[in-house]
Amino acid sequence: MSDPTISDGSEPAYAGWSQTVAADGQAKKRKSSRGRRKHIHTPPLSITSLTDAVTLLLVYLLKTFATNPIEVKDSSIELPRSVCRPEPGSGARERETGSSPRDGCGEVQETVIVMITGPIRKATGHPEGLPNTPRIAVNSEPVVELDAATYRVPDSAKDPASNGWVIAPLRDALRRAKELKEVSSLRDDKKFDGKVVILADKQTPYRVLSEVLVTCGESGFADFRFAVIKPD
Amino acid sequence: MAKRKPTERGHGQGASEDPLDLDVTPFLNIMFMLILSILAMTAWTQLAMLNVQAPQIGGGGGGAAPVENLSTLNLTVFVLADGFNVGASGATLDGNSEGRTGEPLITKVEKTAFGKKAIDYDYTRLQQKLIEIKKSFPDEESMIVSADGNVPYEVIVRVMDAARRSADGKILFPAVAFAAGVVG
Repeated sequence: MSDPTISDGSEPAYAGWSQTVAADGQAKKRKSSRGRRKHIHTPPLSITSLTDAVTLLLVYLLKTFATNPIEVKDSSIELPRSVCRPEPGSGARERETGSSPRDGCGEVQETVIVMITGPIRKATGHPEGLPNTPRIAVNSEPVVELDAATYRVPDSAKDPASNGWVIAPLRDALRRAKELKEVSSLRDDKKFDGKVVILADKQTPYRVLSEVLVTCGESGFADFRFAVIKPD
Repeated sequence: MAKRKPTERGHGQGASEDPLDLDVTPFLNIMFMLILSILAMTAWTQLAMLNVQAPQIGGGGGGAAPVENLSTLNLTVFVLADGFNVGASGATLDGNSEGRTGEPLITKVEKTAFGKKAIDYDYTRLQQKLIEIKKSFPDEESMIVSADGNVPYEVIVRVMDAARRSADGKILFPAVAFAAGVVG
């Protein structure tokens, strides 16, 4: 800038600048090549259409916005896909009347969660994933680790009185969860319904799954739900 | 042109236009941030729940165990390492009943998915079998699944899918229970 005077506010600096630019040799050349002078200081960039596009995008995203009452945050769990398509509103009906949908296909509800993670953890930069020690967790609190080689619950974690079916640490954790649930259902004036959601990796062997189910039944949770991914 | 007021610059010839220029840049910034946060918060995979009945052993207190649902048919699907067997009330339909000793009733088949050939369970034939059984027992809705200890959870879910509804939307055997015992 050739004019060092600072604007005192009485005249906009903008006007002064354009005059000095006009006096400048380079600006003169540009002026002659463009022909019209106003293009020098106001490039014809219309921001209005961009705003329109962004607003439309926002409206579309708000429309498709959805949340799950249960979120799978663990990167080592890959849920199986199912063709199960719950009827809209079946979850609310179930909460009110207590009757489960006839085809066994319900909406997601918030209850006690038992997680069985898988042998592979997804990570950026590793397309095949990293090895992971599978574990069982109740309400995202790890309870027992599975044997990584055999993918089974170690015998040391099992209750010997149950013929190898009840996982002792899981039972203790579920009993604590049940006590909490019973207190909160007293507050809501509802009966404890014994619902439990099982989030299991799709590789989980049936033996582990049935042990978890038996343990849930032992601890007073008799209404199992399997969380699966809905079809698109 | 030099005589024009500085505020009129950039507005072309229209002196009638509003000289007030609203700066939309901060508004745009907020919009972009909002879009990013919505993209981050949206749940892209939608979950559903499959209802399961209590297993046959060790059903504890608490929930209402649907004892009245237990029927006389006791339809059982055995998921073995090499295929499916179907059983009901004592008798088991397996390969032996069709003259293929030692083989399951519904063997695995080779399937092509995404250009890769793989041996997989034959869910279509399992469903056809279940539709046949449903024709003889139209009021029956419960089914027991029993599986080999190594069968992955995904296969169990797909068996439940095959047993829930037929292709024309008729309900087959949606009340699935799990037998905790090992396959016989």
